[in-house]
Amino acid sequence: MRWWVKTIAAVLLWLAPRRFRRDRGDAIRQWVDDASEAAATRGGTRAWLRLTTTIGGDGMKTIVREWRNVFAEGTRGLTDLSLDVRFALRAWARRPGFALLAIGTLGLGVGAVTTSYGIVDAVILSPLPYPESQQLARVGQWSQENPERIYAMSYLDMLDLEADPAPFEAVSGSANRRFNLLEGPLPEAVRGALVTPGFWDTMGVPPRIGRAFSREEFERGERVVVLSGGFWRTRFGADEGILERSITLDGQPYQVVGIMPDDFLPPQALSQQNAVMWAPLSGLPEALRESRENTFISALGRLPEGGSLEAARSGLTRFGARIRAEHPDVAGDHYFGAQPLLSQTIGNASSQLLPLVGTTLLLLLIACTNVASLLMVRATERTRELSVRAAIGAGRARLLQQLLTESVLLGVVGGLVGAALAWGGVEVFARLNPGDIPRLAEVTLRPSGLLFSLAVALATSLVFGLAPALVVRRMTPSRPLRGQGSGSASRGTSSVRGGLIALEAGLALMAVMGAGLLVNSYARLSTIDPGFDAEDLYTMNLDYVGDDDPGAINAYHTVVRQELEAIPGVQSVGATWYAPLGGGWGWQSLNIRGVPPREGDRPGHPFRFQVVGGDFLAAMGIPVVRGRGFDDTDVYGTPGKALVNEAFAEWIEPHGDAIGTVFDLGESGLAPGSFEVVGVIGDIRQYELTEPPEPEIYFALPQTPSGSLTWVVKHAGGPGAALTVAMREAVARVTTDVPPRSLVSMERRVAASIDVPRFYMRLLAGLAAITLALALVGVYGTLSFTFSQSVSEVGIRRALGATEDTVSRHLLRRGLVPVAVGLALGAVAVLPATRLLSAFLYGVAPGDPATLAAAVVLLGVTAGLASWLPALRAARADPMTALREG
Amino acid sequence: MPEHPEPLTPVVYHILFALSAGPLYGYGITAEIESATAGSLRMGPGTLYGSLGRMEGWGLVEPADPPGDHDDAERRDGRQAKRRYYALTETGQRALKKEAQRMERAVELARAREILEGGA
Repeated sequence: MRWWVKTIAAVLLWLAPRRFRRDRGDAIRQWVDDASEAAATRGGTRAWLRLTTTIGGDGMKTIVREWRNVFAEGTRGLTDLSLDVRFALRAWARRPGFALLAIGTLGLGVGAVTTSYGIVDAVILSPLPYPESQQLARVGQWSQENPERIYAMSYLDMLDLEADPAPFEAVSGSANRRFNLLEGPLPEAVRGALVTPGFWDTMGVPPRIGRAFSREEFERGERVVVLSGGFWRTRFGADEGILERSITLDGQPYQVVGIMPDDFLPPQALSQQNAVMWAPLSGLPEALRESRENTFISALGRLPEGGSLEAARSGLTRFGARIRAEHPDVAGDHYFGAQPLLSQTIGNASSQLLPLVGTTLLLLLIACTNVASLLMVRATERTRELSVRAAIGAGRARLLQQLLTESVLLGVVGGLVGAALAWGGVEVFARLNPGDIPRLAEVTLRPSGLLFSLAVALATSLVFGLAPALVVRRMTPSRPLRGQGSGSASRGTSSVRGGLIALEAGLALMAVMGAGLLVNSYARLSTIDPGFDAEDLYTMNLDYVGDDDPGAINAYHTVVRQELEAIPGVQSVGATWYAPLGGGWGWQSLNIRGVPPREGDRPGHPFRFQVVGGDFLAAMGIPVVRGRGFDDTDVYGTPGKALVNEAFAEWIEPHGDAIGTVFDLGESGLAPGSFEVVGVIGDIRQYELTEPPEPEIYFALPQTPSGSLTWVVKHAGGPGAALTVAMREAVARVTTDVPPRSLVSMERRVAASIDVPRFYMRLLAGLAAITLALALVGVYGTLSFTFSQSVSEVGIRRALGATEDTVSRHLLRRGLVPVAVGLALGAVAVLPATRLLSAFLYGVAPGDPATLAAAVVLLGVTAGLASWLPALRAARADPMTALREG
Repeated sequence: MPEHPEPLTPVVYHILFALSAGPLYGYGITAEIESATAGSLRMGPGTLYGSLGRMEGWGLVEPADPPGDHDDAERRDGRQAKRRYYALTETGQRALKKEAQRMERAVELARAREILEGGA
């Protein structure tokens, strides 16, 4: 029976906590041996039974008791944690300045970097908002030279591909279309798209209400339209009755068959941004529908589940070979390729977001440096407290645990503050969108942003929270207790502090330099003279529908001009093919008399041109430098006259005077016959403000009649809104077949042309200001503390006869040396960093010495002030007090 | 050193009582208690050693050298070396005495109320 009792005891012992087994195991086994011997001596089953029940019952009770003790000790650890948290919160409450500064700084840094994370996440990382969007690809013409790029394709090629899309699951085509919506007294230009019936299946998003149009409707060329949710809401008051009726588009009734979901985002990669309606692509003019050469269709393909883009590409290669074989005589490059819709949507957004990411990282680094120096200061201040706690029995591990708890707490609170800031920051950024960053409409901070923010904050606070931990590690309990309470800084920690100051100065220099370059660049941009007077000037695009007869076109323009001139306050009215800074010009090859032709098969000289009418020069405020402008004698049928700009006059100088120059436009020219230059006018910036004027020619509108124009209206001043309404009404008196578009002031156009640089300038200047402020606070705080640690030193120096002046100069030097070192290192590091900005700079080199010098001076002076104040305060302390307190 | 709780639990009291006659080893203590209480308090090893550990912590008992007059047979087979003997400390003796007095007073009170026989 002995083995039986022993086995039970062994099993019970095994179930007990390890520590109990280790401490008491031998004794218990001994006890069992002894008891067994006693039972054997006594003899009889009864003795054994009694021993078994004693051991079993006692064993169970012991196991329960011992495990309970273990758990009680475990939760004592938890109690420590809540104690630590409460202790940290109390410490923060005692020093609210420190807590606010640390949390605010960390929150700011984390918030900034989380904002850029949120934007990068939304623009680049997150999938497009369509079902299985990774299976969507932009399909189209493709060339080996630029394989990343997918071009438009022709209607007939697209129809062939759509009929046999394999290995794609589906392919659909789309083309931009501007509709003239007439629902009310004034026509309205709305953006839409013409699509094939497969569009909805390819996108994977069906209409929310109603239906998409069918293939039969498409083939019959019926006038049906699907509206966007937003447009249906704002324009038709979310009236479902719209499905019963038709709307008037381009003067024709279109049956509304479906409404898209509110959150459907028209695919930007198909140039559908801002599209609010979709109609059948079969509604195109016949000339376009029968062409295999005219490429204007953006096609979209959906891969089957698990299908690879490679397979799709080889399918498209075969398709191209088939098209080339079947239509050998058709011109054009019928090679096809595909790229993911996501990459086609993003484009070069990553390089556009680079300055944002870079600056916010700088800001985070400075914030980290600040938090580190704050924590260092705290740790040094607390050396005494920690020593006392160590002396009364707190283990090193326990102290570390407490410091760690404080760091984690700082990280969590800082992370939450950062997430809140980023949530707002992302919204603000999306609202300020300069217009060239894709997908900003989709930007919101996703839950991953919160995680990111917490992770960054925790990593920061833990890494930089280690500084005080190092102090603890090096601490021997007795040292700080020996007098020297808060003690003067040891050589080690003071060199760490010097390093932190240098780091802050260097980082701040980079941020300030970046912002300085952009401010400098923007200042140059905004002082560029565009060559015309934009004040009180309004522009309006207006198309012409009707006869191609020159007389009819000229008559139409004359009536429009008269109506516009009749508006009260209007001083002059002109028209042009393309308004300046609106992006657009014509190209024309000139055969100039007296100028030798170019070599090669194209002997003419290519020049940009504009066609202008009315009082264009007067309305625009463009001076006639020499000769004359157009007048009422330059009408259709009279000998052709032309104006040139100063850049052209300069170009032709070697061959003779610009005025009197005669040229013709060749066979494929704008107009037949020859033209004589009658005047030289001032240069204007036609395409971009940053682009220097190029030689340009101006033709008279009546001599080269053309339909679509941009009207420019010079007004005496007053509210623009009233004028634009009057302009709409004036046009409506002439025609309701076409809506006026783009009614904006020229000042707005000029401003819009530098929207992007202005946006980055403001963004970086704002961030740099925060960075600079943080760095100065960091320098000030660190030095204040360092100097306050040197009170005894100050006292001794003063007692030995040093003046306030010499002492403060001595202290100032201690602050300025690390600043100078940091600035020197920063100046070296700044060049590769600012090179990232080159694409955003105008007229300033990334390493512009003047800007660098200004940035260094700004930082040097402000950092000098930030060091001088604490130095002065420390030096002013009464020597006796200083000595006593030291 | 933490104070032992008062009044003593029966287990603690009886261990102290058993040791009051002199140092004993584990099983010796339980055997002594069992005979002293005529088998009404039977103690297993877990309870015994758990209690001894705590009592050591309270300073009531301490490890002791084995008494010299021990059984020679056990000494021969080498087992005695493994046995840990425990003895009362002064604190232990005082605590035992104090507890006994407390119980005595309790008994006197019970007698005075004639809860127990043989009252005053």
